[in-house]
Amino acid sequence: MRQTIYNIIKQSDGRDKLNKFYDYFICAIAFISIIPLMYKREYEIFNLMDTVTVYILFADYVFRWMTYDMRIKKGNISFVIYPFTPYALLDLLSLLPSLGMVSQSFRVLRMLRIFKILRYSKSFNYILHAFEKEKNTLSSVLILALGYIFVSALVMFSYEPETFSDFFAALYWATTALTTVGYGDVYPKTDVGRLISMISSLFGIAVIALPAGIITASFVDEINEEKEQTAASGENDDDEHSKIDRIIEKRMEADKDE
Amino acid sequence: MNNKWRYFIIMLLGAVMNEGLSIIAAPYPVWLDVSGTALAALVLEPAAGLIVGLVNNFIIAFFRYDQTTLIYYCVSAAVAVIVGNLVKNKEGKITVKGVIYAILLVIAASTVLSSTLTIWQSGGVSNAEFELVKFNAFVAKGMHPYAACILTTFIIKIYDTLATAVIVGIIYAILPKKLKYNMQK
Repeated sequence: MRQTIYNIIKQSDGRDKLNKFYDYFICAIAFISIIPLMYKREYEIFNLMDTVTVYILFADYVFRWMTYDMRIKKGNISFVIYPFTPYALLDLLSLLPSLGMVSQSFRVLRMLRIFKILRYSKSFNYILHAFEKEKNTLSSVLILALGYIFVSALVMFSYEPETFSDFFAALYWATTALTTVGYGDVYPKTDVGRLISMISSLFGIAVIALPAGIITASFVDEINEEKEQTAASGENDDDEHSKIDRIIEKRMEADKDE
Repeated sequence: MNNKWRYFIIMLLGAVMNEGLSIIAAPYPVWLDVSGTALAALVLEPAAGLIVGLVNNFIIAFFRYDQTTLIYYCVSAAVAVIVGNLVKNKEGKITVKGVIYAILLVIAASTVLSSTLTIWQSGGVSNAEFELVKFNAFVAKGMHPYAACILTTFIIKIYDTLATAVIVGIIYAILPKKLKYNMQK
């Protein structure tokens, strides 16, 4: 029974129609479940939508839990591991507001259901792998960026204390300036302050742009690796040799039947 | 009998038992809403019990309470896993030791899970009337609401689990062999 459930809920490889349908179905349900968040007013239909979708998503969570050992093949310990996997945590967190386990002010957690859709996206998985691969480099760059924001804010706050209500406002200014967002609600007023702002913004662009470059390079590597693996496994291989092999196989099967 | 049909009949019986017995038990201080779950887990496998429990929780949440009671599924799940794994030995025979262990573990697990969820959701105040009567009595005696909730749940789970064990035992005993065992093996 668990095998049947697993065959239906596992990520489709395009061969089984029911399996493919389930993927689309869950994606559609996850999307429908977040529609109420797009509206200010509470309509009666939204309650019904939430009730129905939360049942289905809850069942999906249970099915994935009870078949997780088939996915990672680690025996009974799989059932202990599953609730702590990133996707299971996201699924559970996204269900908690509808299950009445957290107050309705946390209903924004329902938005996490979007990850149900994203898990089926190949590109999203490439990005996740890219982050995983480059986590040490990204951590270093993040520390550098945070340090740079902190120093910029500190310099500005000590030079123009009257411009910022507190140090948090200076941090806010540094973050928006260095990420080139620049809302313009807080800005330096003296010439020296502006000079500090110009210099820190110029260096800031380089620091902030670093992670984008690292992730992009790793993302391209992931795609290339996937292509190489696909080529090595012979999928989509329509060369003459594979065609001949297929003809020989068919003839041998026909001979066996006779 | 085809094993698929056997699964279907037992699971359907389990779902009907869960609903029917919980309606019959409504005037009494017991739930009996996991009897079908336990039967499916015992006769078939824990996964079958998990599905029957899921169906039962959907029906209860949809028709009697609301989606916030869905989380109580973990009690049904615990029952399915405990009964499905403990009651029978490796040869597939029911043992007295297994039954006793299962009863004790079900009482403990369902008390912990139910009371934790009730405390988390409503500070210990249950939405079932018979639980509320006992809970209020304990609180009136000066007990902390959390302790009152745990004690109320524990007492009711003792009655409930024992009654469920007797009912499942009777149903299992009268169940035809072709439903009890996989004849295709």
